[in-house]
Amino acid sequence: MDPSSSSAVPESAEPPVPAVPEKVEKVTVMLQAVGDAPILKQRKFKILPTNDIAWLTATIRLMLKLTPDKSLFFYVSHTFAPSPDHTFDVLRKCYAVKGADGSNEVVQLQYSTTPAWG
Amino acid sequence: MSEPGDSYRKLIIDRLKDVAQKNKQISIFYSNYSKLAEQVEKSMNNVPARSNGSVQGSEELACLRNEMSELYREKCQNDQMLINANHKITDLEKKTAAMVIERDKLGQVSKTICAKYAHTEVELQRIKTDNDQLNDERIALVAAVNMLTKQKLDMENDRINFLNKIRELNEQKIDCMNAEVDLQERRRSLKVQEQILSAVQDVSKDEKVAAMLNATAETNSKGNLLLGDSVPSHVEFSLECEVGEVNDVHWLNEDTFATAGSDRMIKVWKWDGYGGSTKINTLTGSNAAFTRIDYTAERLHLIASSNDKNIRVWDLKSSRLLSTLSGHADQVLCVKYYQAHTAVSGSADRIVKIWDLQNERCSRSIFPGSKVLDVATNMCGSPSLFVTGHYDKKLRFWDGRSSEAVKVIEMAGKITSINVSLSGEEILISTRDDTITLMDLRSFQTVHCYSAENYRTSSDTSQVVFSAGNEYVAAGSANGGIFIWNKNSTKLEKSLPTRTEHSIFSLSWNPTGCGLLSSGKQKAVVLCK
Amino acid sequence: MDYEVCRKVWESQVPVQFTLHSNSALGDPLPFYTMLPRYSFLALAVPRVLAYFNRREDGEKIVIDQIWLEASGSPAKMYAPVGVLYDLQNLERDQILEITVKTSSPPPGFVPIDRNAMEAIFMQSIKEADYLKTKAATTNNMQKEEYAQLWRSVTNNNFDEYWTIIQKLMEEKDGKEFDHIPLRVCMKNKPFKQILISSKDKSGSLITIGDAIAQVLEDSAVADPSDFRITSHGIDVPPHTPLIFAAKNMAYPDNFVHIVVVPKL
Repeated sequence: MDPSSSSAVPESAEPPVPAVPEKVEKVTVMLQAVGDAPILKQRKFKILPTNDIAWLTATIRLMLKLTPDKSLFFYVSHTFAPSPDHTFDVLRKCYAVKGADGSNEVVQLQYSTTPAWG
Repeated sequence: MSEPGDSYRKLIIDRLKDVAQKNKQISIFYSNYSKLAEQVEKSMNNVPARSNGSVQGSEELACLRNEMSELYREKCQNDQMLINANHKITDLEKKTAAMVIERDKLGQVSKTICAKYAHTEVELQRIKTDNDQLNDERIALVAAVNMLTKQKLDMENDRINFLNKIRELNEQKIDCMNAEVDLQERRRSLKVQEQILSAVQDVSKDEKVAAMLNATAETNSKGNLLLGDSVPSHVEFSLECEVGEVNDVHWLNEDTFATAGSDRMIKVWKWDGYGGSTKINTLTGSNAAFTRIDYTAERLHLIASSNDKNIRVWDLKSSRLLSTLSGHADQVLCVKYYQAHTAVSGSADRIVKIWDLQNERCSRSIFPGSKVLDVATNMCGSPSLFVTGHYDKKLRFWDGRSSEAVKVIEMAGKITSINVSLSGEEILISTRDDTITLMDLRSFQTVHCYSAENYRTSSDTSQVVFSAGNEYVAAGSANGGIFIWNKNSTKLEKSLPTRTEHSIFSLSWNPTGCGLLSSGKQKAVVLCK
Repeated sequence: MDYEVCRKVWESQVPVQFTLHSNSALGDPLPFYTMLPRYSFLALAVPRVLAYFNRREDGEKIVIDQIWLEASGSPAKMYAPVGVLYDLQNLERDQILEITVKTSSPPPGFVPIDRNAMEAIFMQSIKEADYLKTKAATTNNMQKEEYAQLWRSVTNNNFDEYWTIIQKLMEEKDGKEFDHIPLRVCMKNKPFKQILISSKDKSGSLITIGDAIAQVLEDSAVADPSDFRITSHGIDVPPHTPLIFAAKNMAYPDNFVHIVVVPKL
């Protein structure tokens, strides 16, 4: 029985993985600018599977030096915006595509500073 | 957890009901709590109010507040509805604006269409008036045309009447001329009779002379010395004399002969009696090939028919062209001297014409209705009788006066030539069915038929001749042979091959009875002796 | 679709207590107690809560930008369905969900969600669910008004309106089965899990909730799945319930089936 489930321990205090951290395979993420979004110098990222969209939003906002009044949206398959608590583990499991070389699974995300696709 | 089937649904519903039941109790607590909280709030708020006014006033105030909050809530809902309604209104307004624009556009279009329509209407009116005008003009024109047509019809009738009159007058004129010719003939014969009578009276006075006359050799009717017929047995000579076909050859007397053919010339040759001949005369003037020639009994004039639709007469002594007779509409296929100063010709235009040679004009035209391939004159009995052979296999006899044939005999084939014996009592008829018919003119009965195994009529105008002494009948075949039959026994006396294999068109037996000239498709004239 | 189950799920509510922790000189007002529908969101309830707290004439007015929410000592997700939050707290049935409204500076990463932002997140969630089910074929064909109607039914608690729209989203088009079932498995204090899972296995038989949970938890380093209770909408879901039944009838209005797994006591 996990002791953390019953007591109100803050999230940071909980170990992310109970077992000995094995070699965690990072998620390969390709970012693609849409519309008027500024272009990133780096398009390919290796991201921990425990990180989520809220984390990515904050990170990319910093990289793009966006002011607080600007918005930033991420989209999957040009269709929908994942909610902020989507982890990259989920994104990889559900929406990753095979890379051009057919080996690595890549999560392709579109980002935009204005709402796209409804 | 081993419920069978879809019991899961029942479980889910039951459990949901359970939870709802529990929550219902909580929600009752909640609503009670909220009421209490409200009252507490109210009482808290009422504390300062009580110091100023009555409890009732503050209660009223609370009541009013409640109502107000109620109203606010309602207002909120109403606002929401209002906003929605406003949205709808703006949407509808947009749609209305779009429709108004559309309507304006359509109005514009309709206006232009109206304008066009009015324009078209005016145009139509104009066209209608034009049309009426044109129609009036047309009616006037139709009336004028009718009038003119009537006038034209009248004039046409007049013209026909005049033509008929002209024809009648022409016929009268021809009759008058014929009567005059007859009269002259009669006068001449009377004159000749008178001369004969006077001569006979002279001769009868001198018995010796009469005896001497009787002792002289037999002469034929043309005055040539007759030495008795001899059947030719060999080719004496062959004369290269023409350029193309030699259509006709004729002995003029015992040592001269004439040839006519496609080189548009008539040549007169002199035979040296041994094996050669020299050209002594050339008669020219035609524009096309000559078809047939004939000459007068005195050997003074020569007449020839030509494919250039004309007939020409030459003086033999001077070689001078005396006259050119034109009037046929097609090739002239045959011509023969007829009565005094007249000739008769037949043409491919199906007309037989009798020519007045003195006045160089046509004195009569006869319409037998078929191509005339040969004509023959000098028949016994009536000197005015002549016979024509036709393409429609018919032999027609004419007496020169009436326009109807005296007698018509149908033969077995197209008639290529007719030859009259010297006595004028018999005629030979060559037909295209490779036979030759001998006909007695007194009874118009066929006497004999001549044919041979290899004899083929050479052409539509191939000739057949009597021998000079009237003993034999000669004809040229398509294969170049000359066939000679005994006239009375119809026996084939001789089948003489010439040196050619070309068709033989024409034959002429020397008046002395010795020597048969033949001519044909090849440019040679062959004398057989 | 099962009208009765859907209706019951829709009507399911949870008790919530909002307590204000402001540093007001006057002291905090009494807590606000309310029943919230399970499908609803904290973001929708907050304006009403604030209105309650702002009733005092003398108190400072609190606005939504200045607050953050805390549940059981952690920041509460304003965009998660209230029912999921409740279930995640692993409360006894008669307990209430305690939400603390704080005016202190929010922890990093907490973004207050207003009504418009909530609508956007809700719509994106529906699109994601449809992307999993039909490669977004259904949502691409939906009218703008239909989206608005769906959102209106959620905000106005109007089941009849919701019923007309939701049938469209839950029906297979032209007999084509859903590609994948939008299923999220949540555990306390852990990010939710989500995998590509179909309604039928390779042999063609229906996958049950129990199978599905076992598959989701397969690669995570948790104990045997049979040690967990499968809960949703405040009830234990029978493990042999077909996944497709749950997807159609027990999904939240955001079109996902939210299953909370709780370790068995």
